[in-house]
Amino acid sequence: MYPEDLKYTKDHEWLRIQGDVGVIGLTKHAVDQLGDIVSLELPAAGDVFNQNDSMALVDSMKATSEVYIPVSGEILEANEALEDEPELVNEDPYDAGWLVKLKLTEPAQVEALLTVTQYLELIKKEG
Amino acid sequence: MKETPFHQMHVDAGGKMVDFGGWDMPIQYASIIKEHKRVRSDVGLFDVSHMGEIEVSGPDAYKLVDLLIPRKLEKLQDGQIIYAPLCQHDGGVVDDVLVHRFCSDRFLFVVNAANKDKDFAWLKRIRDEHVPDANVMDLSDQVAQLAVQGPNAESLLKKLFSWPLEDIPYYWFKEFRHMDAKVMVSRTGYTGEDGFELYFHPRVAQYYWDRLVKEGGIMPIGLGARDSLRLEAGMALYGNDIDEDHYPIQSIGWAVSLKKPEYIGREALVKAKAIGITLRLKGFEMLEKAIPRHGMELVAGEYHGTVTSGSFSPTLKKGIGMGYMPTSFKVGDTVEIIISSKPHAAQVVKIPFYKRKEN
Repeated sequence: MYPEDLKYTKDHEWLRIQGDVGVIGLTKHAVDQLGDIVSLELPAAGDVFNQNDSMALVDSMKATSEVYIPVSGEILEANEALEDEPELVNEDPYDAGWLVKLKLTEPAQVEALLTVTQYLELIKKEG
Repeated sequence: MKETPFHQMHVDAGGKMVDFGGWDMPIQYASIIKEHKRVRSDVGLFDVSHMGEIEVSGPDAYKLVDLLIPRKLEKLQDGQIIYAPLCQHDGGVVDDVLVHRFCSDRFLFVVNAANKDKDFAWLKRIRDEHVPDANVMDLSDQVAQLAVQGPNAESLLKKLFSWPLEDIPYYWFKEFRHMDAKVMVSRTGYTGEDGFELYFHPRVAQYYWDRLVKEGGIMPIGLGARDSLRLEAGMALYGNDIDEDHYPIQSIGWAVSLKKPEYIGREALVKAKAIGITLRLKGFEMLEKAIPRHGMELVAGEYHGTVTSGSFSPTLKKGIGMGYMPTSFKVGDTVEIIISSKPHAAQVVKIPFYKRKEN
């Protein structure tokens, strides 16, 4: 449920590093809390964000939530499949349900993100 | 927190339990959208045992009910049901209720869970002040209630039980004996689909759950889908769309008769109508990809109000909602909903948002 090769944030996003490109998504815990996701407002290629900026909005049946970017970077691509199939985020949060790819501008930020062990401890504490 | 007789069944079925007005109830099982679609396309089961049941009986039962209900009751027959608001003296809505007529000296009110104690006190107060020869009894603890809703509700129930459901028209009910216990079956619901509501003693709760869910294979539906289903069907929710601060003639005017000569609240409603109703509950759908939710700001020209109910509509695949707005706003007019501090365009539309195809 929580892949070991990913980095996590306290806001329940994950980051997968592929060279100097990062892929960002929502954790299983996040999508379980949100419930059915019905639409997403994702950033466009070229948008530039600083770490922890709000980069996207996620609408679920229950609530609208902001997604904060785990590391600084420039958006390369948003997951277009989510336009027609937002439920992919619920069904496959670590693979088909990814949100954006970005070019990291400050790769050193990755080190300070949570490991899977730290993240599991966090969600255990949150109950 | 209070629990219905089906509490353990919800937990076992993977229900996500939440505090709903003091009741520990399932907001959803696996998915609100899947549950919603199942009710629209097939059939679903709702535990609505948190609803209250208040019986009015005795020689003056009819008189008391007639005084409480702002609709003409002459035509209501034994075995028939009427929906209506209960009004305060100032015209505000105490609650919206279903009144079941067994006979002229016995009626059953089915009321909202959160209002049950208030309603019970209200009925007793009006009884004491006006119609002493009537009994008002809170039967809520002795009644469990399940709603079976969806286009296949009737055929599935007929397969499971031998009740002549075809003899029960919309807003009528019948009582049967089954498993040595009474069951009251009405053709009513809160989803916009055909369906039935079953009332029985809590001791047979497990029996009905097993028959309907395990044998019948009916999917349990949580309160999340109950809300999106009733909103698509344009049905008002007490506490959101109707309340003590609004007249029922601003929202469920079709369930109020100003021609009826006497009932609690009539004077205030007639006066309000004469002065002129300036705000009315209307429906809107989003023109942008955004979801309106209860409590958000609604801007209609100069008027600033709130979204009373809002949701994503799984059927229409867009955001829909209701709110009070000036009567001058008509179908097709644009209003704005403030979502994340930004105005989002919406268009006034006819209620209901969704209407089932008649067979």
